[in-house]
Parts: sequence; structure tokens; C-alpha cells
Amino acid sequence: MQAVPEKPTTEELIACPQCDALYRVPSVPDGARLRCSRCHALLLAPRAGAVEAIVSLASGALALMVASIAFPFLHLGVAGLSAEASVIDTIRSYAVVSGLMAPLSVLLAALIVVLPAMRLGGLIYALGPLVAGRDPPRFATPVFRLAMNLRPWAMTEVFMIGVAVALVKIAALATVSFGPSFWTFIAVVLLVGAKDTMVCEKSLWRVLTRP
Amino acid sequence: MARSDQALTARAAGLVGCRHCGTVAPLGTELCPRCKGRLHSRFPHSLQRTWAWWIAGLITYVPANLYPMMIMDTFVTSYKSTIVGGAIELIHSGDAFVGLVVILASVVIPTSKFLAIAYVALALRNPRKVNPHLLHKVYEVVEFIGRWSMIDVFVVAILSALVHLGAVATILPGIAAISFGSTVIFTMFSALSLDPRLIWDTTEEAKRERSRPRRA
Amino acid sequence: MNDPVPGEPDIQPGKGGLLSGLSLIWLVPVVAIGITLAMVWQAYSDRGPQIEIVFDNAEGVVANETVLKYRNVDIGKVEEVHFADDLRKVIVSVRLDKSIAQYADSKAQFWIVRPEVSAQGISGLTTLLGGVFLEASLDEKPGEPQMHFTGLSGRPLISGNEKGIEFVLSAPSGGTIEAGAPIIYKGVSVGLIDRPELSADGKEVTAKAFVRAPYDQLVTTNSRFWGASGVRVDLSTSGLQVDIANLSALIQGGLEFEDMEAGGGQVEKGHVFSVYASRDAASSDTTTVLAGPSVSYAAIFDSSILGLSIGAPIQYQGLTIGTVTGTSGVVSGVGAAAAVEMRVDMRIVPGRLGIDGGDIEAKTASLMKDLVAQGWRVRLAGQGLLGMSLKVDLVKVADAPPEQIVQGPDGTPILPRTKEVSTDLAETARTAMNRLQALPIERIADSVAELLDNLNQVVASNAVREAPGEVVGLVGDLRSVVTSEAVKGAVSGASDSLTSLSQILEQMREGGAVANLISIIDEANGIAQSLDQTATGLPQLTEKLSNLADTAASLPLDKLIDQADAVLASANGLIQSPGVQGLPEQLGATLQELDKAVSNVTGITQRVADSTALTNLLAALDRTDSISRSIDQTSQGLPALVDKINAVASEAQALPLDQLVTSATDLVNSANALVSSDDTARLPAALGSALDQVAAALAELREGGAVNNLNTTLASASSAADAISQAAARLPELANRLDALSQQAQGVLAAYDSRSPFNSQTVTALRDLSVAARAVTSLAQFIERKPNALLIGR
Repeated sequence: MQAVPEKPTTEELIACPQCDALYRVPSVPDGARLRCSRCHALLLAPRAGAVEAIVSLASGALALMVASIAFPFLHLGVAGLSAEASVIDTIRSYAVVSGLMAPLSVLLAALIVVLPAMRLGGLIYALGPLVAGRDPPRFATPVFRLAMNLRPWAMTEVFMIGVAVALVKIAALATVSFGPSFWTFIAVVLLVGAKDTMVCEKSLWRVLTRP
Repeated sequence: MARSDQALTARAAGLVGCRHCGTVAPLGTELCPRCKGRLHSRFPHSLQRTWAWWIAGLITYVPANLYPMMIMDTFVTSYKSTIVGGAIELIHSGDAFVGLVVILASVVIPTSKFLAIAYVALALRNPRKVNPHLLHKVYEVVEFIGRWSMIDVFVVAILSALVHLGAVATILPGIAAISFGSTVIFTMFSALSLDPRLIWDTTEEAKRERSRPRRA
Repeated sequence: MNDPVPGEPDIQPGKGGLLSGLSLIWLVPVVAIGITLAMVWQAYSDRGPQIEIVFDNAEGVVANETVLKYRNVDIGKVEEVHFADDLRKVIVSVRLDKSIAQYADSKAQFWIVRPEVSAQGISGLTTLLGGVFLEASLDEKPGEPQMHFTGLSGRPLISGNEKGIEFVLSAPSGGTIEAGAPIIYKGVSVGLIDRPELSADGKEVTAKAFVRAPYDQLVTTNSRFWGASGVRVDLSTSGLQVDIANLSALIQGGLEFEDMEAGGGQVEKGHVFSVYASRDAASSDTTTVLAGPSVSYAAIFDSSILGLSIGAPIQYQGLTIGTVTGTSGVVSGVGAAAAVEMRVDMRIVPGRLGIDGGDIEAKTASLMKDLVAQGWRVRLAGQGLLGMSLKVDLVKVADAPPEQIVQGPDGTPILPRTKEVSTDLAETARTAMNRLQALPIERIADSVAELLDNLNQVVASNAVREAPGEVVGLVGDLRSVVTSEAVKGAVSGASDSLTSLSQILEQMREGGAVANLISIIDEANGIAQSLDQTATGLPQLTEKLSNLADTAASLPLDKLIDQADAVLASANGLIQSPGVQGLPEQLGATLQELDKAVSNVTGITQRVADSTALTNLLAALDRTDSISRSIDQTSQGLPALVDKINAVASEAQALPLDQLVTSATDLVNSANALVSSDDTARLPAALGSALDQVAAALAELREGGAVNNLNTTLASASSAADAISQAAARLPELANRLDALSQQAQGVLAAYDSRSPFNSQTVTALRDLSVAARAVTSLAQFIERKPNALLIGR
């Protein structure tokens, strides 16, 4: 009852992270997708050149992120008065009002800037050397795991939707125009999204720990 | 039906599966042999943690609705809006569609998130009536949608950063923003604390319960 | 049941490598890095220098928000506000635009713009809504960029960067020089005066002054500056002109200037001008124009030179060409003919006669010789109508006996004199006009009335009862003349009489009427004397008439005419009386002449009545009335406004939001209506002060907002209402204070060029205000339509 017939090595087995169902995994062709037959959770979706694509998209997104943060992304004009806001202004806006709100500014900084940047940097750190055909760096394992764990907390795309909502709210009242970093921020969101579709954690772990 | 609901779980096979890399190891292994992540066959105290975060979220959700989310100072007056009040007034003023969208994002999603987590957590106590597919769907939706509630906090931040027009109009974040932000974070933790494998464990328990009377 | 076995996962067929071709994907980071680097590089290369400006007080300056403007264009932004080491100053760090950096040299000036209402107009109104900003004054020449500047306390009056001429005004006291007061040329403000400073020795007050291009050409070395009183009444044949040099001059004074002499040279920067008390003082000062080389001459007079002082002018056709340098006596003749004649030494400045170049002495001598040959002679003449002082005139005497310039004992050429000593009224008419303006016409009228009273007493006395009835008629006529419209007009409106006088003078100059008149009056005097003989009991009347004749001869023409008129009327009556029938034939002719003169006068009076001056004046007075009414209306309107504000505040404390917004809109609407109503528009000055109050109220509102305290907003709205309430309470007082001003100002403004700077400033300010008010109103209306629109969008 407990034993598995023709007991496969643990290397060949995989457990569904959602429902714990156990599968024996043959070698999976690139581009194929393995799904749990019980809960339809994605098990494996190896892709050819995924590592390379992930590293390049991540580094592109990281570079644009630098530009997106510092420059104003919205410009407001009404009755001869004007104002503009950058991502940094937005993050600071809570702390400026009162010290009580300062934790919220810290949270915003984490969700919009720090954590997404850590994710991208972590991926580049862990996977970058693989692209160049070298061994994974020393802390590749914990760094990659951290990058994966941070996924729900990186809210770049949520922030972008927030920008859109804010835009709708004040568009009727004032003239709103986009600053340069608005577009780079959109590019960041798109690149991160493209990268995320490339990421199959389990496949990447296999690549990363390939002897 | 039976095939898709019933499967050999890693636990049943005396193994523990890593949630990160899918690697299996014998039960009791502390660290994943591949990714060195901590291995848990099931999250320890999963439901307790879920409830704890859930309650914390609910507590902070109260001031989030009572206090103003955003304060608008204009030349003429100073106006404070709460989450619900703002959406309701929007509907009153004729913008029903936008009002509904705002209500959906700011009111329905957070509250349904509470309800959904509570529903899943409560349903797990009664394995026989559980439809694991439905529960799993609900769980996935909650996990996916949780972070989008953060939009409101972002919008307030953007508006207060942008609207600084001297005496004409200035927007300031209200105290509710910090409560609402906490609520979102807490409910996200609550959802993450819930181990989805528990949902599927119910199928085994249900089967066991069903088979027991038959043997007897 | 089978033991569970590891299942077979679903395998979906592969779609082929997404990126089988290796390196296209690497374009993504390359492009991304390129974009980022480009943005960073652009930002860095566009980044101008950071300059530090030191202020005493940085009220309203907010880091990352307050901008630096030049000609109303943003050229920088405040990045930081911090204290100097000793806390005595505030240092504002400003990031300049790169394109501007090279102009931020040692000539650049910076100051903080705040709303300001002054006699020059209203400025900085936009800062009420948008907060303060810094303003820069830069010159057009790039220089060595500076990093540290000292901010000015306010907008500099003279920036030093505008085109024009900068010079120094010097006055014995500071009263005539006031900071910011305009410099006026022909009623147009062409420049302004900086803050006056006491000179180091404490003897005079100096101030920098600036006249902007192109008017700087008008300032020459011969320009004279004098304090403009604000109002000037001008009389000319074209009628009465009440002229206010400039409204701001009326409020805070100002300096007018004019070239008193032709041929002035270009003024260099820093030239020092004296400031005269009045235009007369400016025009009569000859010390500067008579500088330069001079030639000595002398003249011998046999009449008294009492009143001729050293420094008295030598005039040629009214042009001062020299001054008296000394007087002495010379013995002439011997024996019975021995006499002491008066020698007057003078210096004549040939430059004033247009003689320049070398050898001016010979040229002058030759000119003088020619003039004398043509009949030009020197003579003594009275200065001014009432003045006892004398001057030396060079006049052309018709059919003068030929004379020559002779050499005096000391070699000084002696100019031949003419015996004719005339009080040529026409010649001194201009001075007379000035003096007439100062004449107390009402007092003259009073004295006429007194005369009448005396006459009345005489007539009522028993002695006169016996006098011929014609004398009673005379008194009646006199009274009717004095009480006639013409005289009433003269008393009530000084200007009217002055106008008539001006025209009378014109007539006199033309027809020699004055001389005739004087002789007529002399004859009337004679008549009176004969009346004295024929009709006893009238010595007092005769005396009065005699006085009247004297007065008339000596000056006040207004009275003179009236009295002459009356005398004529009575004389007419007398002539027709049997007692006088036998008077000489000559009297009849004289009377005819007098009649003619009087009809002239009447015609003149008629013309004055017909001229538009009176109607202008009346219209101006009418407008004054309407202004007063507008002020009343405004002050009546304000309490209502205050009530509304109070209502808003009380509603705000009790009522739901939408009602609050509605009342707020009402408030703004009524404020807007008040601001844009015709009444208010016609009240620039009153508005100016009212704006002060509104500004204070707005400042309170702003502070209420700036505190960001949720709970104090209502309190601040209430205090704003209080402030406006105080403003309203002060308004009647304000109205009173402004009443006199506006009475003069309004009519003048209307008669005045409507494009004068103050008018346009006022209009601009009003337009600014109404634009701002409209913006606020539309915002309020928007909020009213869509409550809390800002919060929930749409």
C-alpha cells in the first residue's frame, strides 16, 4: 500500500504543489506543458531558451525601471497651475502628510519599487551565468527561491492600473498629460508580464540544479 | 470523476513534495534536496494562521470604512470621502457604471475576499460536503485577486502626489488609507497561509468516512 | 481496488521553441538600457546649475513646488529651503534651467512675488490661488554665472535691466520724492522713483530714478523735475481743463518733468537733477540755463530801481537771456541838469540768444548793435501782476529816436533805454494767470457783496433818499450784476471765471481793451466825483468806487469786469438822468467804448457757457455722484456677502455636503458678481483696498488649508467670514475716505486717456481677478453638479 510499484527514484517524481498529487515525470519535451490531472495546476512547462529570454527581459525591465522611478509620469495642468508627480513623489505622498502614514510609504516603496526590482535582480543574478554557459553562482539557490516567493508582492502592474484609475478620476477636472516615465513604466509592466509567462519555476529549478 | 478526484498524494506515498521545485523527498525531510527550501507536507497550523490573518484584516477593515480615505481641500471647502461613501455618491450623481466599478474594486472585492477565505476555511471542517474543484477555484481566485485591492491605496497616493494646486485644490490621503492597506496585506497573508493541499485532502477523508460504514 | 500508482501527467504537444533563433531577445535589454541611458543623459545634460538665494523670510516658498519665473515663464524650481548657519537668513536653493544659467550673473536679482495692492496697481494676484513664486530680473547679456545671490525683499522698483536711463534726483526734503512714485511726462507715466535716501551730509534727499525707453530720450540736461500735485487746472482759450497728471500721482505724488529750455544734451547715467516744488519754481529757476560764458552790459535808468534786485532777469521777448549783476548810481549833467541816474550792470549769456562758437563777445556786440539800430531798447518792467519786483526788458520801441551803444567809463557797453515804463498786461498774462489761480475769488466776491451792503446802507440813509432815483437804480443794477448768473458762476466755479478771464485777457491782449478799460474807469471815477458834487451824501460810495477803480487797475480782473459792468450799467442810467444830461460829449463816446468792451465780455461769457468745459465738469460731477452711489451699493452688497459666508460656515457645521457646496457656489457667484459688476469695475481705487481685505481673507483660507488639519477647516472658513465682515465694516469708512478722491478721479479718468497705464493696469487686474473668479466659479459649479468629483472621478 505504501510502496510504489517499480519504485521510481525521487528524481523522476513530482508532487503537485496545489493538491499534492504525485506524478512520475518522463523527460518532457520543450514547449510541452504538464498539468496536474486533478487540479489542473501547471506542473512543468519547459521552454527552449527560456533562461535566456527571462534574463534578457528581466534586465530590460530593470533598466527601464530606473528611468520610470525618477522621472515624472503624470503632469497636471488646470487654470494656469500645474503639478507633476513621479513614482518617488507618489511613494512619498503618505509620509509627507504625517508620520503616522510613513509606514504606508514604506509599504508602497516595497510593493512598487523594491520588491519588483529585487525579483528582477534575483533572476538575473541566479540565471545570468547560465546563459553564459557557466555554473550557477554561489547563492543562486536562496536568491532564486526568494525571487519566486516575492511574486505576489511585486505590484508593478497593479500600480499601473492605479495610474489609469487616477487618470480617469481627474481627467474631467484638469488637463492630464503623460510624462516620459509613464511609457517606460508601461514597458516595464509588459516586459515583466512577458518574462512571467516564460518562468516555469520547476523547470528552472531543474535547469538551475542540473549537475 | 473518481479518477480526477482520487490520486496518490505524495503524503500517502510517504513522501513530501516541495512546493517550489516539485521535488519529492521522504517524509520528514527538513530541506528540499534540490532547492534547499523548507519542506512541509502540509503547512503547520495552516488554518489557524489563516484565521489569525483573517481576523486581523477584518479588524483593520473597520476603520478603513469609517475614516476618510481621501481629503480634498479646495478653495471653497474641504471634503472627505470614505470608501463606501465615495462610491455611493458617485452612483447618486449619475455615473452608475463608474460607481459600480469603484464599488466592485473597493467594496465587493475586499468583502468577498473575506467571505471566500472564510468559506474555504470553514468548508474544510466538513469534508463530506466539499466539492474540491469548486473550493480550489475559489482559492485560486482569492489568491489572484487579493493584490488588486491595493489599487485604491495607489490611487490615493497618486492623486495626492499630483494634485497640489495651492488653494485651488489639494488632495491628501486620509487615515483610512493605512487601514485599508493593512487589510489588503493581511488578507493576502491569510490567503497565502491556507494550504491548498488541505482542500484535496478532504477527498481522502471523505472517502475514508464513506468507506468506514461500508466495512462496518 | 488497485493501489494508487503515480499517474501519467497530461502531455500537450510542443509548439516549438519560442526563441529558437538565439539573440533577438537580447534586443529587449539593449533597447531598454538605451532608452534609460538616453533619458538619464538628457535629464543630466538639461540639468542646470543650482543657485542659492538668501532671503530674510521665505514665507510661502515650498521645496519642489515653488517655481522661479522670468517674464512669467518658469525658469527654475526650488529644490530646497534651509537656514543659513546662524539662523539669520533663509537659503533657497533653486535649480535653474540650463538655458538661463548663463544669464544668472552678478546683475541678476531675485525676489518673492506676493500679492500686492499699491498705488501703482495690483500685482501678484495669481499667487492668491497658486501660491507664491520667485521672480528673477535678468539682463540680456550673458555673464559670469554666479551661484550665490541675495534676494530682494520685494519687487525692485528699478531693476537695472530695463532699457532706459537711470539718474539721480535730489530734493531738499523727502516729501516730494516717494518710493515707487511715477515720473510723469505730459500725463503719461514714463518711469518711477526708487526709495529715497538721505545724503551723507543730511542736507538733501536723493533717490535713483528711472525713465524707460523710449521716453528716456525726453530727459535731457535741460530737463526740470517738479513735484506733481496730482491735480492741475489749466486755462487756455480752448476752455477749462482739469488735469490729473496720473491717478497714482494723485495718491502718492510723483514728479513731472519737462524740457524748460531747448537744446539740452543727452543725459548720462547718474546725472543729478534737482527737484523743484512746483512747475513755476522749475520754470523760473534760471541758474542752470544761464551758466556758461557771458558778456557784460549796462544800462542807465532815470527812474527808481526800487524792486530791482541782483539776479533779476534780463528778458528778451520773455526769454531770460541774462541777469542783473549790480546796481549803482552815476552822475549825469551838471548844474541845473545835474542828476544821479541809476546804472544797472548785467551779464548777458550769448548762448541764450543762440550765439555759440568762438568769439562770442564780438558776435554779441554786433547783434546788439543791430538790435539797437532796429529800435530795441532796455527798460524796467514790473515782474508779475501784483509783484513789486522789477526786471529788465529788452523791447522794441516803434519809431524810437535813433541811438547807439556807447561805452561806459569802465568800457562796459551801455544799452540805450526807453522811457516807456509799461505794465503791459499781455506781456505778463502768463504770470497773471498763475497768480489768478491762487486768488481767493470768493473773498473778492465777498468784498463785492460788502460793497453792495455799504451801498445799500448809503441808499437807505436819509441823505440818499434825497439823491436822484437813478442812484437807487445804480444800486439795483449793481446788485443784479452781482447776483447775476455770471457772477454766481464765477463764485461757485472758480474755473469758469478763470476761463472767462483767460479769454478776456486774450481779448485784452488783442484789442488793448485793458488800457481802454482803465481809462474808462478813470473817467467813471471822474463821473463819480461829479456825482459827489451833484449828489451829496455819497462820499462812501465814491470812496468805494474809487477803491474799485484802484483794485481794477491793480489786478483782479474778474472783479474788475463785474464792477465795470455794473458801473457801466449805472453810468448808463446816470446818463439818461436829467442831472447828468449835461455831461461832456466825451463821456458818451467813452460809454460807447465801454459798452463795446462789455459786449465783448458778454460774448466771451457766452462762449464759455457754450464751450464744453462746463458740461464736462457737470458730467464729471454727475459721475462723482454715481460713484458715491456705487460705493454705497457695494458696501450694501458686502454685508449680504458676509451673511452668505456666515451662512455657509454655519451650514457647513450642520448640513450635508451638497448643500454646503451649493451655498459655497452661491458665495463664489456673488463674490464674482460683486467683482465683475459695473459698479465695482468703476471703482478701481475702492476695489484696490477691498482687495486687500479679500486677500487677507484668502490668506486665512489658505492657511486653513495648509494646516491640513481636518478639524480647523470650518474654523478657518468662519474666520475668513469674520475677516470679510471686518472688511465690510470698514468699507463705509473706506468709502468716505475714497469719496473725495473718486470724485476727482472718476471724472478725470473718463476725460483722461482711457489707455493710461493705471487704467490699463486696473483693467488688467480686474480681468485677472474675474478670470480667477471664473475659474473658481466653474470649479465650484462643477463640484456642485458632481459632488466630490475630485474624489471619485468624472
